[in-house]
Amino acid sequence: MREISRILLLLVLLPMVMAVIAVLTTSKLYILSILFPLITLVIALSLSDKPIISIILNTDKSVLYVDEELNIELNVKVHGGFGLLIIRAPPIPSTSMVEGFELVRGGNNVHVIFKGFGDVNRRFTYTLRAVKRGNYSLGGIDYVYYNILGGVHEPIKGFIKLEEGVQVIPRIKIVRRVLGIVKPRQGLPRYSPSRLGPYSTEFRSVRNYVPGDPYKFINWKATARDPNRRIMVNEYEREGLRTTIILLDLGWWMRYGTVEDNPLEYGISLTLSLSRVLLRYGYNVGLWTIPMGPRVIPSSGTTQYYRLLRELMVVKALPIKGYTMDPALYRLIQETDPALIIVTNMNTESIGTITTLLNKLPSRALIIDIVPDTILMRSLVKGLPCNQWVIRNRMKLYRALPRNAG
Amino acid sequence: MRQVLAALSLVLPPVIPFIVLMLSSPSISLILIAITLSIGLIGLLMGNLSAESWVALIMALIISVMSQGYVPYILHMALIPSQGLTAFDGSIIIIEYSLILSQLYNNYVRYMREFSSRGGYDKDEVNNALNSLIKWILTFLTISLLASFTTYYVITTITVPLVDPFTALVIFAVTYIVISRYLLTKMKSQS
Repeated sequence: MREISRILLLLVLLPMVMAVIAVLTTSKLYILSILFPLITLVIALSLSDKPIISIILNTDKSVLYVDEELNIELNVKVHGGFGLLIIRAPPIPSTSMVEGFELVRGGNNVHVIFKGFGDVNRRFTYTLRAVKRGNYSLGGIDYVYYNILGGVHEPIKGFIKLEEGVQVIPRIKIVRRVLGIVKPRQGLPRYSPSRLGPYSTEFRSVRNYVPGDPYKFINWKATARDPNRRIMVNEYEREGLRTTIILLDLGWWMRYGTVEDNPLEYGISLTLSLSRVLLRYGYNVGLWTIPMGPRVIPSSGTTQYYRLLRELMVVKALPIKGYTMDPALYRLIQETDPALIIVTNMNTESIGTITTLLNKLPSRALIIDIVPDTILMRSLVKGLPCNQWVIRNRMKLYRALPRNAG
Repeated sequence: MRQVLAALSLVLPPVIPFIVLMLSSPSISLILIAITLSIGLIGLLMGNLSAESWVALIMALIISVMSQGYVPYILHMALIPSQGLTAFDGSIIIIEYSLILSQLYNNYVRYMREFSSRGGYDKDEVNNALNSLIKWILTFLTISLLASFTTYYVITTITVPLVDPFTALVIFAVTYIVISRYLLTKMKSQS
């Protein structure tokens, strides 16, 4: 925008040059050529006040599900100044919000406003659709103001930081209920095979103290009686049913498809759906991500669901090959004998990692294979009568799995 | 409005002054019109319309300086006979007008390029805003042009016998320097 200040420079220099020419030519008509740029300069300077810009952004919600719409209202007030105002409201390019939302209605998030003599008081509304789960910061509103003839100042660039954020929760729609399989048959009080979950008051045994045991469970009398002077603790039965650990694959192959439609997104939705239904029936549910990433120690209750949700909101597929068994997971599996569910996308690349993992697991595991073939083909072939036509036969891959895979 | 800006910037520099000059020297006028118009067309294709106005202004000033006043008096020869040069001097204001318009046209093109490269803008909204901007600029420039003519008329009709031309020039120079210094200080403080 240096061009604008060039106009100002021109308006300052022209009268000087014209005055010299006027003297050289002794022509009084050059007064016209002196006056014109001077008067234009006076007009330009009289319009060069800095404007007072006020931009307020409102959203109708801060938490929404994938595919839900977010209505944004932008109120712009400009007082003073004379020129062009360019506003860019969220989603601003190069922020994560661009990937997670798409504009569906109401025109645009970018606006150009001409500010004349009157005050500007404009209201813009637009609607974004959430396409990907995640925690998104609104970022801010970017604006640039250009004076009509440049004025005496450079273009005014500003950024209004917005503290608010939007949380997009993945949709849970795959498993709504499980009939007769996980629902406990025993009435209360029931025997709990689980070794996790909150402690009950039902005494089980006295054993040696291990780090992590609550101090209140130390059995002082048994400790005093022990000839080896070891600390003994009371062990109580725990509440809750069996433990289920979901192992979510975060390998690069979980990205096949589009940003918002890929095995990872389906896997997250499945994990949450499964967790919700299991937690509803009192199960302890835990989560491990492979090859590395966040983990949630198994527990029960509604709070556990939100713990899982919080971790799953930020997971991403990683270009890491190979898998090292987490010792904590191994110990947990040995102690609690949980139901293991591996959520993955099986292909020639991932089979190696999955086989390594299964070989290291001390128990059987159920593998849920999310096939991305339909996602990939949906964009290429329209109106497929049958999804099976595009799914490649995976029997060869399944046969390569170790025997503890189900 | 872009077309209006382009047409005015393209047509004004060669036509008005050189048509005025044609009365005294038709052959030179035709050559100058051809040169400026061709520069204008090349500038239009290359996205720099101001080149034509600059060339027209420089040529007009050279012709004017070489044809009247002190330079022909010293050299004992004039480039062009002095008949019709009065109107020619007056019409240089039109070249100034087109020069500012061409600079604004360059700005317009730059704005459009910026908007199209960034993307995300509503085309109609951008056009409306830019059209309003150009309308106001044209209005201000026309007001400025009319004000210049009015002031000139007032200056030439209401003469002050006590002030000789040299004193008037000194007063103008002092006033101009004071205003320029004030503006430069203001620009520095606000930028």
